[in-house]
This record gives sequence, C-alpha cells and structure tokens, in this order.
Amino acid sequence: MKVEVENQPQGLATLRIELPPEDVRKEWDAIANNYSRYARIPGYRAGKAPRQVIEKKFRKEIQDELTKALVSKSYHQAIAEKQLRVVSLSDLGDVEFGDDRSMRFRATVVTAPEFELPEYKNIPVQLPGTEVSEAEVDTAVERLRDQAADFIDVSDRALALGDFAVIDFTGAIDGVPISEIVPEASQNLHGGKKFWLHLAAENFLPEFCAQIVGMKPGETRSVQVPFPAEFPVPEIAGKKADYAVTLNEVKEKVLPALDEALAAKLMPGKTLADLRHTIEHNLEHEKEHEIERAKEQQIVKFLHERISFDLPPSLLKNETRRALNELVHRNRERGVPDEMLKGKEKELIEGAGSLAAHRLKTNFILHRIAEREKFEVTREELDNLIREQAAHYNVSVEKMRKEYEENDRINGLAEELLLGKTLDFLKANVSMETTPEPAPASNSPE
Amino acid sequence: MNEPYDLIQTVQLTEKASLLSEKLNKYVFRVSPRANKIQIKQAIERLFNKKVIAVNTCNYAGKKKRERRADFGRKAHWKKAIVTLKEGDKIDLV
Repeated sequence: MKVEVENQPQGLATLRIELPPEDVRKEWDAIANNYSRYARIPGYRAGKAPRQVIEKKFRKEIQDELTKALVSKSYHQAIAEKQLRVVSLSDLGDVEFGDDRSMRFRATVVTAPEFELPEYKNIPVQLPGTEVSEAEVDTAVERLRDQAADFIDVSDRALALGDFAVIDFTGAIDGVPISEIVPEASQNLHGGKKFWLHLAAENFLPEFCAQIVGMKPGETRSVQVPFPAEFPVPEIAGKKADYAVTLNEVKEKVLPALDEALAAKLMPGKTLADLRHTIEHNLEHEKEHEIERAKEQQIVKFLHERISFDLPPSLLKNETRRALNELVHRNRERGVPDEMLKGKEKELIEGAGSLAAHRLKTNFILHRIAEREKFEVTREELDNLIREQAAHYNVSVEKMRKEYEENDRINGLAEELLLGKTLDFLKANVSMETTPEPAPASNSPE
Repeated sequence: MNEPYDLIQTVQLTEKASLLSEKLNKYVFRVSPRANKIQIKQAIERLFNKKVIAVNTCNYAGKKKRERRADFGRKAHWKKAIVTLKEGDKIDLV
C-alpha cells in the first residue's frame, strides 16, 4: 500500500492511497464470485455464466462494492501507518481503478493541530479553604428562617414600607389601558388582581411603592408612574402612566423564632444543634464541590494560556452548531420566548462560537495528555458507566447499551470517560496553594 | 447487402456458445438467412482479422406468435453460423 500525505492549510490533510493489484484482485474475485453464483443472464442458467460475462455486465456494481469494502479498511491502515492524528474524515473520493486492477483513492481528513504540551504535572492552583465559619452557618440559618416566615394580616394600621400589599391595579397612559398599548409586554405592567407587592423603596415600578404608603385596606388610589426614557419597553418609555390601585390586604412578614420548634418543623425529630450540624455538613460539601470546580477551571485556564494553536475551521463550525443548539434548547427550557431568542441571535452565535472554541481546545489538549500518559478506556469502565447510566434513567442495561450503539454514541461515551480520566489525573497532580479568599473567578465562557 | 455488418447480425452469447468457444475454438453468430458459408467466412475474417477454418450453418424457422386469434404472425426466420477458427486464434466477444 502506497500512501502519500499532503498537508493542507486549515488543519486538513489529503491522503492519496494506492492499493497494489494483488490486494484488490483478491477482493474483486470474491465479490465477482458472489455475483456469478446468483446472477441471471439471458442465455445462461443461474450460476453458469462465465466470469468475463459477469464482470462485463456487473462492472459498476462490483466496483462499488469493492470501494465500500476496501476504502474504509485501507484508510484506517494508512492512518495507522503514517501515525496521523485524525479527528474526522471530511471527504473520500476520486476512486480509480487501474487496468492492472490497482486502486487509487483520495481521502481528505481533518487532523488534530500540532502543539507542544507544557509541563502539566503540578499545575499551581489557588483554592479556598473548606472550613465552614460560624457566620456562614448563621447566614444559612437566617435564610431558612426567612423561608419559613409567616405572613399575618394587619388590620389596625395603614400600609407602611416593609409590608406586603395585596393589591388590584390597572395601568393606563392618557386614558388608554397599557394592555392595549403593549399587549405583549409583561402582565405586571398591564395590571393585576390579588398582586403581592413587597413595599421597598426601589421595588416594582418607579415611584410606585412610595405612593401607596399609608393606604388602608379597601381604599383606592391613583398612582402616577413616570417611566424613565431608558425603560426596556420602548412604547411606554419616557411616558407617564396612571395606575388605579385598590388595596385588598396588608400583610406583615413575621420570622419564626429561632428555637427547637423551628428545627423540628424544618427537620422533623431533630434539635436545633442537629440542624446547625446538618447545615454545616452541607456547606462543607458544597465547598468541596466548589473547590473541585475551581481546580478544574484553573487547570483548564492554565493549559489554555500556555498552549495556542489554530482550530480546524470545519470542526469549529460543527461544534459551534452543536453549542448553539444547546444554548437555544437550554434557554427554551428556561422559558425564554422564541422571539427574544431571535432578537439575540447574534449574541447567541457569538457565545456559541467561543464556547465551542473553548471546548474543542480543551478536548484537544486533554486528548494529547491522555495520549502521552497512555490512558485508555477499558471495556469494564465503559460497562460500568453504561450500568450507572441505566440505573440513572431506570432502564435495563441491555436497553441502554443498545440505545447507545444505535445512536453511535459509544465512542463519544468512551471519549468522555477518557477525558474525565485525564482531568482526574491532572487534578490529582496539582500543587495546592490554599488561600483564605475564594479563588478568583475563572473566565470560563459559560 | 453483402457487407460484413449486414451479414453478421449478432453474436450468440449462451452457455452452449461459451462452451464451444472455450473447448473447440468455435464461435456462434446469428447471421442473415441469405448469407452463405463463403460469405460468412469472408465476413468474419474481415471483421475480426482471424483465419476461419470451417463454417457450419443451420436455419431456424421464426416462432409462431399469436394473441388469442387464429391468424398468427411469426418471428423472422434466422440462420445460425458456427465458425471454427484456426488453432490459436481467439475472439473476445464479451
């Protein structure tokens, strides 16, 4: 087998592969034999037609089958022979058969970019400590208290700042209801029934809260709201709106006392000390997670800063498309309407582009490290992962495996495992510098 | 009408014909019923540039063809020629 490699710009390489006649002939004969056994040709009984007749009549079919059989096999052989780091196959073509039954074809592949690995063992990382301070526990307990707060009706006094007002209100500008001016804007601009409003200076619409202070339940008041010029809804920005507000109820937020009763309510059968202990434990756990994440981010950042190479554009394009899909999907799940996504199309594409570039680069680097360290994914590890996934989705292991195989995702899974392993290896081999402050936020694009 | 291409109409590619050419160096053609052996010999020699030793012919009556009617038509009558070439001469008919 003769292989010529031609490097091309943008991370592409063209392989010209020529197969010797002996190899081709063997395969050719096998395929032609198969045809001659079953082919029906007028003048001959099935299986009795001479070879030349068969080859003449089915030349194209035989060549097609031969191409299918030989091209992928010899392509893999050629890659192994030339020790190319091939990421993906972009084009296969120009299959030619010589008169002497030799076969030539051209394969265009995307190769992994070449770069030097820096020293990746003992990457310095700065990590925050895992100790949980008393103050942090106190804050968490306060938050729990806040969540367990009761709202009680207030009837003996007027509405004051800090209270919760339950109001009915409708807005209009120059006598025209806002719901008619901007029907697609948020419901809360139009008005509402039984709307809970926390009275604080800057809460809700501009100057809204200040104007309803002092109202009594059942009272109706007209509130003027001057929308600033930079208000996000352009139809009403800079205009003055009148809101007719009726106060239904006044509620006051009452925090429960921090005692054993609260602990028992939050965690039945537990005391206050237990509660604190659990919170501390959870916080510690959270911090550990955070440290792992920070470690990962800093390792990736370290590697990114020290390695630079051009990513193959075709790969980048694919990955960007995938990232964009993900972003759109995630936003949709979060309930962002399609129109808004369309409006932000440019930002989304840009975001996806940088996300894709970051991911690809990380993958390439980790792959190279895995290669250097001779990491491999074993069959058992893959099996274990599939078993875990199956348990997670509550389906049988066989079904899970079948699904992966059908969607051709086994390789992706193995790659994920390999990269995870590499990252674990890097994480285990860092030089730790514990700092009292939290680690500086890494500029991950996510 | 005596040009070689008019006389020799087509080659007969059948199991029997393949066998003959393989084993006995005889080639089977469908020829014009008007062609005689001498003409066939000359035509083959001119067309393929090979030496012909013998020509055997046989006439076939065209098959009767009818479609639910009493008055039948028929396929054309035809002539088969089995041409023996000099030893060593070959024709690649495929």
